Amino acid sequence: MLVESMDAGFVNRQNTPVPGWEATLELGFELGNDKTVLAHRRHHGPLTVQRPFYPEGGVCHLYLLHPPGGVVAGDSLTITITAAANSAALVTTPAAGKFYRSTGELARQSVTLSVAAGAALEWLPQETIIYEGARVASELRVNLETDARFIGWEVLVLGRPAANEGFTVGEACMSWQIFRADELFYRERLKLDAQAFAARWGLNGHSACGTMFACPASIVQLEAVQQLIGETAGRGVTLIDDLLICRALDIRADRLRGFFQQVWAALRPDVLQRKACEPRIWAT
Amino acid sequence: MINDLALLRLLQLISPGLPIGMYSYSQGLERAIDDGLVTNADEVHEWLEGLLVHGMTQLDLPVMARLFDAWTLADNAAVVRWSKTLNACRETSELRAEDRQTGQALARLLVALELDEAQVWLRKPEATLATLFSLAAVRWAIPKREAAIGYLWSWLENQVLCAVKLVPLGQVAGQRLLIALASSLPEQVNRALLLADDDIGGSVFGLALASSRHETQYSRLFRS
Repeated sequence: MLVESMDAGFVNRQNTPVPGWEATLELGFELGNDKTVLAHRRHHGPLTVQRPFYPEGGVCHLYLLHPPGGVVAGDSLTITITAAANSAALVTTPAAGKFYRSTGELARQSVTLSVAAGAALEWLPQETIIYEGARVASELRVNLETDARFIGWEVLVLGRPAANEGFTVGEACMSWQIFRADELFYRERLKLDAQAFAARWGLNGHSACGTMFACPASIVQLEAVQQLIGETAGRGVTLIDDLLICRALDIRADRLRGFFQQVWAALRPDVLQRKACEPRIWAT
Repeated sequence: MINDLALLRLLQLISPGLPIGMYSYSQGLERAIDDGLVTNADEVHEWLEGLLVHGMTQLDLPVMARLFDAWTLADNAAVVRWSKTLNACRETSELRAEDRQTGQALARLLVALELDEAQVWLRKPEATLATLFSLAAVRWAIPKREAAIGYLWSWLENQVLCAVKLVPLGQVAGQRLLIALASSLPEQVNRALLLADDDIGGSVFGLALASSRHETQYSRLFRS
């Protein structure tokens, strides 16, 4: 839910030293004897993880934590995750990410996900809320080796509709790149500001937008997602070679997430050869 | 200044009569209209201005300019690299297919017009319209800036023709749109030609979504 007190962010972070926090987190998954283990973990600053757990056999489920609860101007978060050959991991977050309003400086987030041959990585964070007036530069780079399997999404919420907040100031520059065998396969760069929020060619006034990637996929999965969408407005799916990209726009972030979870559940058996096993934290 | 013959070649290259099938692509506009997102001339103006400022000037045009330089220097590796980059920036399968099909169609035409360098691009999957357009511009001595203005104009005219057919709009309303939107083209070309390599790339969420949705549109006239 998006309901929260208007100034929660400032209360949490009012003692933040200037300049902002630089937090880095490195995670390395490897296939152990009978399950995927978190073989490498290094963090600096306020970014960490909970103890991994195994609700579905060998797949390592991991929750990523950002204890300050939000990102302010000048902060930078750098996350690097590597899934070694034949490992399988699902990474999610227990709460929405938040970028608070800024007086000028950028807040930065950079995520690099590398998936080796035969490995499967799921990057399924909860939504990221970009408060009105925030200034954000966010990058996601996914490196896929041959035979790597990947499902990932990014759900953005501009402003806080529950607090009657629009998005008349601020900007979020999003960059997504997918490399396959070291060659650029997909690049998307979105600049979301007041104009893009309101315009027909942008979000057309919808505060939540989402993009989901799944690889490898085929026409079978494309048609399955097309069926799920049916005549629903604000939903679309495409297949570029074996990369499936699903996009959604909604006035409600929870509804958009619900849709993505449905798509994920429909895709997972084919893309990862596993039944959907929802992280428990999604239900809370 | 562009010389007379080069100007004539440019007019030929950007004519809607150029047999590469541009008229069969709407770039998501058909679905945006079907979805009720674009219903009149003002909304067409808003839609196209968004695509122009955030898509064409951020991506297509600066890449076309780099392809132009690469052809000028006979730097084949750069031609391939920038073509692949442009291809990677197309957000849906229909937008990729459009670029590949029109690029390969222009390659066929250029081969027929005795521009032999187009030959290897007949079947290359990374062929884009900008790849072959810039080749023709360089070989026909069209200066870069004029080539960029022409490229943008032919995109704009094609989109407005789609809108006239699909919204639908009157012919005069279409011409008014062209007059209004063309006014900003010189400034957009300035911006595009100054963009640094690292800043290239511009996606438009509404376009990506409309183009995805076009793939399953029930009744449609256009291929994108």
